[in-house]
This record gives sequence, structure tokens and C-alpha cells, in this order.
Amino acid sequence: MMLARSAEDLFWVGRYLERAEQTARLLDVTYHRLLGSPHHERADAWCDVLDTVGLLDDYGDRSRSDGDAVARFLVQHDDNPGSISLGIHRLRENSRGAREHLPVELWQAINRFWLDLRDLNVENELRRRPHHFYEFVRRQCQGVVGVADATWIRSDAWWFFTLGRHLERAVLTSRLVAVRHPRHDLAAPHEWTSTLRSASALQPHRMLFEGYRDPSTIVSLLVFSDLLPRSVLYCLRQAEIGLRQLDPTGSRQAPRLLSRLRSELEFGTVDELLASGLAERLEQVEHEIFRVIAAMGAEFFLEPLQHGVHTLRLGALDSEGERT
Amino acid sequence: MSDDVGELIASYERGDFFDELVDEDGHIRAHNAPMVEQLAKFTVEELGRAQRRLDASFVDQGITFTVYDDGEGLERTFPMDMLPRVIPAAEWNELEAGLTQRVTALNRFLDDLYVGGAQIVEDGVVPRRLVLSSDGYRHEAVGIEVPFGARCLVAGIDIIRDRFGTYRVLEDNLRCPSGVSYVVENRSAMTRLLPSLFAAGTVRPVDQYGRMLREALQRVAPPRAGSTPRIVVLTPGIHNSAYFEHVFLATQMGVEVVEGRDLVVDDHVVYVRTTSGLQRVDVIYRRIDDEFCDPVTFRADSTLGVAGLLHAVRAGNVTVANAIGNGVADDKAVYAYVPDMVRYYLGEEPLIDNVPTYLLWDPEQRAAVLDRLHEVVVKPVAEAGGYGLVIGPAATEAELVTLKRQIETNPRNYIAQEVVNLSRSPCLIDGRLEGRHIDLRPFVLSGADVSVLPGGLTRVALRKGSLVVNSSQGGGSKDTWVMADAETGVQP
Repeated sequence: MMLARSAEDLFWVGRYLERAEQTARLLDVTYHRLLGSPHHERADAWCDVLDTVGLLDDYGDRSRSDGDAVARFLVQHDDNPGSISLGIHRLRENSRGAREHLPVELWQAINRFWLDLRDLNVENELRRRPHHFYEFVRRQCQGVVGVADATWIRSDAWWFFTLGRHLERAVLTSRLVAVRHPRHDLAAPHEWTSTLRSASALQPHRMLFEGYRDPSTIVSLLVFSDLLPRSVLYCLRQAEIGLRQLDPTGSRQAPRLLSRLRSELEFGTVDELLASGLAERLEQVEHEIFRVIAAMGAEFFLEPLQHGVHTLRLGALDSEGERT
Repeated sequence: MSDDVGELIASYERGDFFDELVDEDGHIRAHNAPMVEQLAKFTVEELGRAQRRLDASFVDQGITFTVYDDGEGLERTFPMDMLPRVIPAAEWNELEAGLTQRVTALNRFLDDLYVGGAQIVEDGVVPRRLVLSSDGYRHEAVGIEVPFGARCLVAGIDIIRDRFGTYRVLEDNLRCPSGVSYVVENRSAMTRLLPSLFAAGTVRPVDQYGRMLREALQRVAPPRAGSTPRIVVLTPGIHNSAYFEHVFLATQMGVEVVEGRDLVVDDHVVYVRTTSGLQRVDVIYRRIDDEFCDPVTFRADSTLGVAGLLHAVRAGNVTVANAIGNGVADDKAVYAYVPDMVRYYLGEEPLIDNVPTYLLWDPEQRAAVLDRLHEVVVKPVAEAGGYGLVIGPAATEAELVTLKRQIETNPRNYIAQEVVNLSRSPCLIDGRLEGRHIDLRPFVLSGADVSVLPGGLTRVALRKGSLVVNSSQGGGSKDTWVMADAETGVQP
């Protein structure tokens, strides 16, 4: 049991952290890949990035989706609630608001990240060496998670943080698969590589599916793997562990919704998934995750306590429970 | 420029002030000698490096306060000088006795006003209209009992030394005194960066403050709460200038920091919103001013407080510390009567004197002061943080004309004090030792009895020649060493 506002703040700390890391990874992978790709693939590739992080509609005019503009939008845009800089700012504000729950070393790591980002001339970095900047963000995020893992007592606070990370990650991987699967043409191996890299799954794919020339192996790995820490199923299982810790008597709605979603996914197969329409099915998965989050909001965070504070719309539900 | 700290100290110019380090003849004061001996083992470069590491670590740890400038909140550190201020045991014992006496009398005064029928007013010791006209007086709090009469659960008493080295009280802070987190963090930084300095003797510890505060808060819990009352720290939020301290205190006590929106009052009981629903709260250590803490009773536009809080307090279901309405006792005009309160309630002579103070609502005193505004300090009675302060000798003619008009318009709002040339202490500034004016804010806790944290916040006016030590006005701090009594050894 803990203060509802702090629990919500820490849940969002997990989400912001995961989102910043994944946004940086997607930008980095795409930036590198396009260095050697034909011109006509570029606009599509950047639109895929926007779509994966759920900000394609927010971006507006797709005809201007060149690399520089998309990177600026996702890194620094003040009006973009999903931008890295705003995310890190919120990450730190939320951490300050719940600071008595954080280990000292973790707070310092988060604060240092924020200070370092503040001291960077981001515009200049993006122009001169974007890959350095993306690596900086990714490493800082991973460093923060590492410190959290190594120092944080496994209190409710930790589990809310962990839940935020895994649910956000499940959504992002699910979207990655939905957006990228149509591009996994047998004749376009670089598209495969790009998708796998975006989920830190290139090497695992080689280990597990060496020799297979079948795009369904990517779906299999990113959605169903027991082993890949970014697979949808893996993330849902981790989240399930967290919710069980937070609701030991099993009396709440959120864990029930999550367990149902996990088991439906777990006992399905890749073939069924592909046959039933991959994009639609993954959209359902995403929708179910948002229902879990909404149930957490009602049961743990006592919403509408914080209504309107977290303006990152991804995952927000309107009053009818539909995704806005 | 020498790199030898010993030489640096030898060439230190004490100036025409009371100096904490060296006496009138230029000799190191005896109680400083062991510290100086240890300090001299470092080079100036090493001290400078320690200083830079200290600043960086405060930034890293977010040990900051927020200053509002042009509407923009900037997080700043409160810089600490590397030379500690040393207070010998005997001097401290006198201070401690004086502080205990003063806070005891102030608690009695407040209890008298709010639940005792204001006997001191009836007996003509403190004028009625002085009390009733004070901004800090809350008639809404009349009749609200506080366990043990511990109304100033935490008091921060600002002490200065005049040119003869006599300790005097400059002002009392009885509402939400801040700064104690720096006392503990400064010591922690000092032991980390220059541990060998502590070979100079037994310095009394300060890190027990969280435990002391927790015990004090537990003692004033309503009886029904039993032995493990739920305590929370109530903050205005992360943008408040002292937010770091609110978190610090909560962490030290192992309790949660809450905002007004995290609390609800139902049927005169206060609850906190938790992940397991509403849970009853027994004690609120609040760091929100009276007028913001309950929009039902006080300012209706306040979003920081808790609606219905005062009724819950009155019903005896929750204890709020510090008590509502303490501002009347740290009103700077009421301050002038504290020595009389000590005599009235305790039948004792005050052990620590006030600074000579003139009440400007008194026509005779006002007339005498208005003629020599350029020689005195004028302060608004209800302000804290050094805001609105005018130092006569440093003010321009135009400022004094404006001030005179303000005083004549609202004389109750001002007091005047003789300029006290605060004592100075050497500080390391750009590789040199320079004298800077300092004060001392010890922290005094009340409960069944009164206790004083051995130490306090020594604030430094870092600007050359400045007499204003407030953090919001460019002040810094020093680690403050209260030495253990050689006879009795370590006293925690």
C-alpha cells in the first residue's frame, strides 16, 4: 500500500523511461539503415517510426516526413507529448514527486540524466551526430533501469515502476510488429534486419531461427517468445507477476484482465494470428492492455485524481473506454 | 597567492567586527585551534577541489531550493563554505538553555492566547490590539487544544552575535521554519569530503534529527491513534522552494510526502488516498502556511490545502504541526515582548536577549526612529526570508523617503532595529580567506519537553559586506560544529 499519486507517478516513470529508450532505438536503427538504402524507402521508413510510437497522426503532414524533421519531432518538439525531451522532463518531475520511494542512487541517476540532457545542445547534436545522441539516451535509460534493479527494495513502488515499463514495452513491440510486418518481403532482408534491431532481437533471431527464410519467424519471436525480453508475451508475463504482487488476494479487475489477455495470447499460435489478420489482432491486444491500465487507474490510482496531468495520450482511454 | 592553508589563515584580516575565528589580538580562538590544525594539513588547491566536488554532488543529488525569478523557477544549490563554524561546549550549553527557555515561553504564550483566555493580555503585559492586529493571529483557532501545548513543535530561532560576541535573538520562526535538511546534508558532505578534519575533536552529531522529529510528532498524535500513528508530511508540491527538505524529512522519518489533493476529510476525519483506498491520518507535519491549508476556513482560492482540515483538528481527530495560528508569536512586533513573556510565564530573566527593537506604531518610538532611518534596519512584521528589509546605512535617499511614507501609512506593519554588525567568520572565496557575516538558526523541538538539535544552520552572507544571510538573497552556509563537553563526552 502506498500513496495513490506516487504509485501513478512511478508507473509513469516506468512508461516514460521505456518510451524514451525505444524511441531512441527506433531513430538510431532507422538512421543507420537509411544510410545505405534507396531513396524511395526513406519517407516510408520514417512514417513507420512515427506509427510505431503511435504519433503518426500527431505528426501531421506526412509529405514532410524526412529524417531531420521526424527526429526533431520525436526528440525535441515541445508540443509533442511523446517527445524524448518532454518525456525525460516528466520522468524527473514524477520522480521528484515520489522521491521518498526511490533509492538515493536511483534518484541521482535520473537527476543526472536530466541535467546532462539539459546541458546538451540537442539541436546541434541532431545535426552533427544524431547517432551519438540516440546512444546517449539509450544508455542513460538502461543505466537508470540497471540502478533501479540493483538498488530498489521490492516494495509496491518498485512493482508499479516495473508494470509501467513492461506494459509500455508490450504496446511498443506489438505496434512494431503490426506496422512492420507488411514490409517483411522475402526480397527485402534489410527490412527484416531493421525490425529485429528495433527490438534488440537480431542476434536472438539468428540463434533461434538460423536458416529459416520465413517472415512468420519474426512474428513468432517478437510476439510469442518466452525468452526475448521485448516480446509481447514476455512483457505481459512480467506485468502479471507485478500485478499479483500488488493484489495478492486477486480481488481486483486489472490482474484478471491481464491474465485473460496473456492466456489468450499464450495459447494461440503464429499461424492463427496471421490467419485472423495480424494488424487487427494486435490492435486488439493493444486495446486490452489499455483496458488493464484503465482498470489500474480506477483501482490503484483512484482516478480521476490526476486527470489531465499526464498528457501523453498513448494509452489514454476516453470515457467510453475507447482509445482516443 | 600562497597554496598553504596555514599561511592563508595567518594572513586573514579579521576587520573591525567580532570574528568567530580569531580574537582581538589576532590569535586563533582556543576552541578553533584543533580544527585549524587539521585544516592546515590541506593545500588551498585541495580545499578548492573539495569545494567543487561538493557543489557538483549537491547538484547531482538535487539538494536544491527553487528561486522564482521572472515567474520562472530556477533550482539553485545552497553553497556551503568548507571552513566549519565551531561552537565550544560551554557556549552551546548557554545557548541551549536560553533557547529552551524562550521556546517554552512562546508555547505558553500561544496556548494562553488560543485556549487559556489570554491571561497575558488581561494582565496588561502584551497589548490586546497588538495581538488582534497581527496578521498571524487566527481567531478560527481559538479553543483548539494541542497535546502538551506543543504549538511550536519545530521552531527555528535566528541567533546573531553582536560586536562584543554576545548572542542575541534576531527573530523567531514558529510557522514552517526551514533549513534543517542543510544542517544534516552539510555534515554528511563534510564527513565525506574532508573526513580528517573531524580528528579535531568530538563534534556532536546532527543526523538523529529525523528520529527526534518523528518522536516529537508521535507524541502529539491523538490518543486513539495508539503507539503507531500514521504521520505524513504535507507539502505544497514539487515546485515549492523547500520541496527538497520536505522529501528529506519524510525520508528520514520513513513516512510519505503528501499534497493537499492526496488528503480528504470525511466526517471530521482526515484520510490519505492510497493504492488500497482511503487510510486514516493521525499527524500532519505541514509545510503549508495557515491561510492555504484549508480553503473552507481560510483562503477559498487555495488549491494546496485540504477542505475541512481545521474542523478535523478541532474535533481532535488529527494533530497538525506546527499548530494553526503560530504566526502571531513570530510577528516581529510581538517579538519585542518575548522577554516579557519569559518573565511572565516562567518568572525568569531571559537568558538570551533580543536585538534592541522599536515598535513603530508607538508614536514616541516612531518619532524617534523616523529622524534617523539612515541608521537603523526596518523590517515588515510578517515577512520571512529577508523580503522587504531595508538597511538604513545602505539605502538611498529615495528609498528612505519611500520607506518613511510607508511607515506613516501603516506603522503597525513595521519595526526598526539598531544595525547589528553581525559577527564574521572566514570563508574560502576564490582561493582567499575573506570575512563574511554569519548568523545561526538552531532547531528546537517541543513535545512533553523541549529539545534542541546540537548544531543549527549557520548562514553566511556571501556578498562582500552584506548583512543579509537568507538563502533567497544570495546566502550560503557552513557546517556548524557543536563540540562535545570534555567532561561528559559524547551526547547525542
